[in-house]
Amino acid sequence: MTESSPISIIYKDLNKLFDDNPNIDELGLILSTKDYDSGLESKPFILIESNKLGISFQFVSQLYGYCFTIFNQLRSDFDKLVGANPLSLSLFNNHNDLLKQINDASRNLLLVNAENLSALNMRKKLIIIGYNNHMNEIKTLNLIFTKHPKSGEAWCHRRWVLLDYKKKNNNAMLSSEVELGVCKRVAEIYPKNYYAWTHRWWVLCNLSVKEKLEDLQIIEDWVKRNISDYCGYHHRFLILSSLFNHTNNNNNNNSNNSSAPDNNNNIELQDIISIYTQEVHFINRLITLYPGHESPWTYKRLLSNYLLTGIPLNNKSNISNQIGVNLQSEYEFCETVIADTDSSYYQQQKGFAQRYLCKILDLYTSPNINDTSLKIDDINQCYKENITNLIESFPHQTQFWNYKLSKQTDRK
Amino acid sequence: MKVYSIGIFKVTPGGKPVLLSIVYELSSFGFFQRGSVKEVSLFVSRETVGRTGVNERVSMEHTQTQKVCHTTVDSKGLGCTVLTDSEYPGRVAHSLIRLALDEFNKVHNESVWRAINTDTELPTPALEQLILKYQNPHEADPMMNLQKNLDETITIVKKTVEQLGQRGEKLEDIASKSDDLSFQSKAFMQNAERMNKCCGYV
Repeated sequence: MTESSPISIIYKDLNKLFDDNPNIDELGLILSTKDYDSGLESKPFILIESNKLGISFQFVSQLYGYCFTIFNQLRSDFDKLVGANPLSLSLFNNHNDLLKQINDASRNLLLVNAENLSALNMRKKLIIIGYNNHMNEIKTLNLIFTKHPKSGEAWCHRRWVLLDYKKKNNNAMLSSEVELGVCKRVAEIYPKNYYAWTHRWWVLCNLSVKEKLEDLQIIEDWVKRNISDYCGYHHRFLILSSLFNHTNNNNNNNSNNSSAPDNNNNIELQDIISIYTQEVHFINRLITLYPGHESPWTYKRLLSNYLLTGIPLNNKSNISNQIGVNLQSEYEFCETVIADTDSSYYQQQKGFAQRYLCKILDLYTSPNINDTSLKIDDINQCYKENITNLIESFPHQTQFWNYKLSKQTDRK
Repeated sequence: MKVYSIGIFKVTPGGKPVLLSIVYELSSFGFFQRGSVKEVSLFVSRETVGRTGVNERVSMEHTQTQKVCHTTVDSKGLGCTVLTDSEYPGRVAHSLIRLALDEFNKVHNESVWRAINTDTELPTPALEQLILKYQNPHEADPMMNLQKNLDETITIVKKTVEQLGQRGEKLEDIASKSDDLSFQSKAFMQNAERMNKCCGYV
C-alpha cells in the first residue's frame, strides 16, 4: 500500500477530522439515508452539527485493514525504541510524532472494533508514559461507547484508566458524574446492558452513602420507565443491601474512637428502616399499576427474602416487622392481588402472586425464621391451600408443586 | 415504557393513508439511527392505520422490532397512530389517541385536511407536548385506572402483523416495496430481527 493510495488518503482525512473537531461525541455507520444520500457514495465521512461523525459503511472494512497494518508497523517501532528499558516519555524525545500516530491508529481501530486488545494495551502504555491523560481517554471511550455500548474489553479498559488515575492521585476518583452519566446513556441506547450496570455499581462502591442514596433517587425514575427491565431493580437492591453494612461499620468505629462520624457516610438505623419502608411501598405500587410484568415480582421476592432472612443484624425480625414485611403483610398483599379479578393480565398476575406467596411460605416453614407468634399448623394449612391454587393455575406443573408439598410435609 | 411517535392520517377505503401530522420522541436512540427509526415508524404506522376499520381500536404487535402500533380511525376517516414499546399499557395508548385526535381537530378544520392528497406535516404543537407527557403513563393521567379492564366501550383488538395482512402478505414483503423506507432503514429493520432488539449494527 503506497502513501498515496485512496485508502491512505481517507485515513489521513479521518485523523485530520479528529484534530480539527476535538469534540466529536457520537459515532455511527451510514449505509445511506434519504437525507444524506447525495454524494455520499464518494464521501467516506460525514460530520453533522460539528460533533456527530458518520462513517460510510462501504469504507469500514478497508479502513480497518489499513489501520491494522499501520498500527502493527508503529507498534514494532515503539517496541524497538523501548527495548529493555522501563517505559518512560524521555525514550521518545526525538519521536513525538510516533506517539501521535500510535494514538490516532489505535483510536481508529477501536472506532471499528472496540474489542481490539492490542490497540487497548497500546493506549494503556500511552497513559503510563504520560503522553495521554486519563480524562481524554475517558472522553475517547465515551465516543466509542456510542457505537459499541456492549464491548466488554472497552469497559474493562475504562476501569483500568480509572484505577490508574486513582493510584497516581492519592486515591482521588476521576469525575464520578461523567461515569454515572455515561452508564445512564448507554443503558438507554442499549437496554439490559450488563457492563454498564456493573460499572455503575463499581463506581458507586467508591462513593459515600449520601451519593448512593442520590443514585437510588435517580434510578427510581428509570425503573418507572423501564418496568420490565430487571437491571434497574437489581441496581436498587445493591444500593439498599449495602446500607446495613454502613451502620455496622459505623457502630464499631464509634465504640473504638470518639471522633466525629462522617456525615455523608453515616446512616442511622431508623433512616434505613424508613428507606426500606418506602421501597416496599414503591414496588407494591408498581405491581398494582402495571400488572402482568414478572420483573417487579422477582424484585419483590428478592427484597422480602433479604428483609426476612438476610439482614446482617441480630434483631432481624424486629426490623422487618418495623418495615412492614412479614407473613401477614405479604399474605394480605397477595390476597388483594388475587381478589382483583378486574385487573388486566389477570391470569399472569395471579400466577405471579401465588408463586411469590409460595416463596414467602417456604421461608416461614424453614428454620431460618423462628417466629413463635405464628402457629405452625396455620402456616401448613396456608401452604396446602396455596399449592392447590398453584396446581389450578399451572396444571402442567402439577408434579412439581406436589413434590414441593411432600418436601414440606416431610420437614414437619 | 416509551412512546416513539404519534401520527395523524387521512384514511380513505382502498387508498394509501395520507400523512397529515406526525411527531417523534427518539432521544433513546443514537443520532445516526434516528433517521431510520423515523422511517420505520412512519412505515409501520401507515401500514397499520390503512388496515384499521372505522371505529375499530387496534393494537398491532410488531415482534420484529418489539414495538406496538396502536391505531384507530374515526367515522370521518381521520386516523391516529401511537407507536410504543411492548410494555406500554395499551389502554393508556388508546386514550392518548383520543386526546391527539381532539387536539388535531381543534387546530385543523375538516375541510382543510379533506383537501390534502399528498403527505403533509400540518403543525400541531399540542402533539409535541402530549408525546413528552405520555412518556410516563402514570404521571400523564394518574386518575386513570390503567391496570383495569373496566371501560366496556373500549374493545382493543390485539393483532399480529400476520393477522393484519391481507391474503397472507408479510410486513417484510410490504417493506421491501415501500417508498417510506430507504435502503438503510430496510437493513435496520432486518437487523432488528436478528439482534432481537431495536438497534442493530447500523
